[in-house]
Amino acid sequence: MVTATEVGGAATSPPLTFRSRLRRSVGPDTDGYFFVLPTVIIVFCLIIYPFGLAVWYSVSNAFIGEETHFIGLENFQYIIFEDDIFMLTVRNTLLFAAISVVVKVVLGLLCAMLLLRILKLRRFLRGAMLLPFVAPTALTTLAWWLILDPTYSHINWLFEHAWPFSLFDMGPYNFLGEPTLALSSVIFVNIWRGLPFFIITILAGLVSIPDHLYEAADIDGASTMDKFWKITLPLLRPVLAVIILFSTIFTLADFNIVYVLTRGGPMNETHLFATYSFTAGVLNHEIGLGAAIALFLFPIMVLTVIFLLRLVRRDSEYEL
Amino acid sequence: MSKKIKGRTAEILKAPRSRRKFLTQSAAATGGLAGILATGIAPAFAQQRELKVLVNSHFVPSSDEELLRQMKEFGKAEGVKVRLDRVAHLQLPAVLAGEIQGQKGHDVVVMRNADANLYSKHLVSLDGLYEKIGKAGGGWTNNDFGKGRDGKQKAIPWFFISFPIAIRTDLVSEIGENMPDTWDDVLRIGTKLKKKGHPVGIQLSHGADSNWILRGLLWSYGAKLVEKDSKTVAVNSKETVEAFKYIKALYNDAMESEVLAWDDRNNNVCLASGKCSMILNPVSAYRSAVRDNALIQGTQRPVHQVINHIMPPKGPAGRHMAASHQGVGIWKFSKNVEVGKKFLDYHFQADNADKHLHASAGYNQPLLKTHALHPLYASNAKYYFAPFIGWYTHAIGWPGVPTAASATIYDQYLLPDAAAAAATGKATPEEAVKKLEKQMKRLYGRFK
Repeated sequence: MVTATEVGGAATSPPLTFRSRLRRSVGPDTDGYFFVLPTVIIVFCLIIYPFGLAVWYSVSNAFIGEETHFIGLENFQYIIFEDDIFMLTVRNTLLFAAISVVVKVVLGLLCAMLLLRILKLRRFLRGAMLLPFVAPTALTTLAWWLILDPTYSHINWLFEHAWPFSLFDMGPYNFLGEPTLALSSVIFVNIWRGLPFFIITILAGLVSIPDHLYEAADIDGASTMDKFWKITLPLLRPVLAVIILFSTIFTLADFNIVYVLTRGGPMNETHLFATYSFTAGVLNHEIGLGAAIALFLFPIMVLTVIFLLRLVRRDSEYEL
Repeated sequence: MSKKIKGRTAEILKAPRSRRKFLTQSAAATGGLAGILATGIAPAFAQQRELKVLVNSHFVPSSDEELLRQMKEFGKAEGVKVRLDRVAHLQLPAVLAGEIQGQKGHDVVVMRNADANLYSKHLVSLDGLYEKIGKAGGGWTNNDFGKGRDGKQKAIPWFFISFPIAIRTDLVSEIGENMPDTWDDVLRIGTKLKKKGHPVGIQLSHGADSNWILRGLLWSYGAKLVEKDSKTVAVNSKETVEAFKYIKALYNDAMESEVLAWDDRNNNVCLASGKCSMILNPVSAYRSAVRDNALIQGTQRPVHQVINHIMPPKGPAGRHMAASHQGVGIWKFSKNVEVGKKFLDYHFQADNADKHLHASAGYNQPLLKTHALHPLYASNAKYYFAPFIGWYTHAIGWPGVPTAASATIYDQYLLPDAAAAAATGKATPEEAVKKLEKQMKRLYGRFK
């Protein structure tokens, strides 16, 4: 006789092991989850936890060495409505990022196209071009700090003593002491440092454009400018979008250049989000305020990334 | 890779290992490591006491060298390892903040100005040691410095750094003037010398010197940042406005705009290079000129021969100047509190304190009464000001005492920013003072 239990089998089947239960709930390939676990832990520890902590600090009165209490949106209220340095910081960051990125794109394109045509010393020049990018930022910025020194700027010395500059009665310029010049100086150094990244990446993009497109355009009688606008630029747009994305993120969050050159001065006129957040949070002890300032960068970054990623996606849907 | 290591690696790789054995051994190693990390205590065989000291890099490097020598001597006698770390003085707040947040770092730390009050909760009480050292040294010249918010002594006063005028005597003689005695003299002489290419050099920037000199200037004009109760903000006064008007005139007539971007190095360079006619600075500017044997441009004459130090200028309310007061404290989280105290006791012994003062070439001005009239200051006519400048010198927070709020105002460079705004015309003196008052009230409100 066959019992119901034997027919159904459910009552007599052995209990499921942990692995089997896991497999049932998450699918057959459970090993994958274990493989990504270290990454998840690292992301949690180094990104999610600090971010959460920053959010908590931003709504607290956290102060170095003091007890911390929740104060709601007071920090945000203060920096938006009362702190004029913050408004300068917003203006500076946007100006700094916009001018730097635009100049780097234009100069990067020009230099890359020139480098593509240069046949002699090609390797040397491409290597040399990368130097500002690969040298440690703190070190090179320190060199610029000496070059732009308020008392003994090398550039001012050249203007005063070296021909032909000495003919024009130029300077001396207070590169780091006059607000507009100081901001221009930090933008210039950022461009100097970031330009090689643009040149090399754009050069790689140029090399990958098939020659037959240009040959066909020649046959059709296209001018050099036609070829640039109708072939080179459209095919470079995905590459450009990616480097603009990276560069914008790095530039918006730049710290070293401003901190070494001006420390946000003169009169707090050259602060960016990163330097002002560090100054307020660490040097001025007001961690809560520093966190609130830093968090303002987050929505700006997110919007920039969304915009540029959309551009990348759209531009990668071209057909040859 | 050497042959020996290669052979050993191959041996390990070849050796049969069961998975269970491997896992057991790995777990044991991980557990052991986790235990060490969690408790912060090394296994007995690896334990050795290490005394870690943090100071800001001294402007006269031989001072730090002498400190390290004493630490080594102490370490040898006590059987402890010693380590001296130095950071740039403008970076010190960031390092201290990091150590407090992490509750980890050095044992003995330099505590400047009102830091002992600011970090009061995190420093051990040094009352006993303070009394012992003070008694042996004939008492302290400033009894307010180094106090915590609980009234206990949280830092042992170490030395103060004063701000006399360092001046080019030859340039002043050339224009037929006497040495300046008042701020008005500084403006008059400075205006004449700027026209000859030798401006006055006083920072209006985020440098420590700017914080000191501007406080001294305000006090000389009868202005004050805070009342004697150390709690009531008193900056918004006609005296402060007058002082700011003076700064504006000095900036426009006797200085160059580069002072807006200066750090604490630039004024030294400006004087030693022969450009600046006068700066307010400790003796380090003169010492650098001696060390580098810098020459007056176009001559073979060393510039240090024509640099002298004179008392800081008088204002309508008398002669006042701020000074950087340096102390040493011990973190509560330190595992070597007793060793730290022992070291401080050793370092402040008359003989060692004397050597430290000598090594700094008089830069470290003593806060112990027996050292105040040190023979070193009589050895060089350029130091004649040193024993007397203490009479006119105050710590930050004066006429009150150095408090956490005064430390925060100092660290945020609120006064230099306000003075720079008034000087450059970014704000009127009245507006700059009003804004400064608002900022100060916010921060003082925090520590009520």
